[in-house]
Amino acid sequence: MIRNNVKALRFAADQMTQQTLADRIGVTRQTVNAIEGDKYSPSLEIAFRIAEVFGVPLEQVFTHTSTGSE
Amino acid sequence: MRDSSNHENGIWSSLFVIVGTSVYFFSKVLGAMAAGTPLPVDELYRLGLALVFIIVAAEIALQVTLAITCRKSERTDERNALIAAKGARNAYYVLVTALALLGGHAALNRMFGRELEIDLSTAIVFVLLALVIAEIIHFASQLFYYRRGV
Repeated sequence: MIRNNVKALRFAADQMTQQTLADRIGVTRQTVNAIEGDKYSPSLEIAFRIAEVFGVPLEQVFTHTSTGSE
Repeated sequence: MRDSSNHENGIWSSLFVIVGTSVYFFSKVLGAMAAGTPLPVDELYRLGLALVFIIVAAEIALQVTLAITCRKSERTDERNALIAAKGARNAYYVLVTALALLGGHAALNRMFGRELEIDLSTAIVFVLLALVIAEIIHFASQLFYYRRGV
């Protein structure tokens, strides 16, 4: 399962709005909302763009947790 | 208030159009079949053609209304494309299953040397019903993925 800190990073970045983030990474505001709510895992390209916007490594934005069924 | 995009609103409107028009169409057709007086094939074609025109006109009107009422244009991003693809895949499964059932029924009858139990008009109604159900699944799947995640 992939989790993310997009919401926390967004608030830390001067309370950036979902719309602003969406415009900067090239998706809709609803997609940003879905990412933050763990309802959608973005593609690598979008994931890297998000990390670039916040100026942090990818691993600080997205984390993968094993489900334990391996 | 739900946070729905213009894409979602467009899908809702398409779903209402297809359900509304198909309820009207199939209530006439299936009602006639249930009464033991199935509609002749040319009448089915006329009704089906009228249905297509109504659906196309309603869709155009609704999409134009949505385009005018939304404040700014919305981009189609990877999530929209993924949800559309999954909806189309689910609709494809339904349609293929229905056509396989129809074809299988005909093939089995022929294999055992039996007359086809369903006539042409019944087969046409069955195919149209399969198409409508596939379209409903297409739209309903997308709405499900928009709400629950993909």
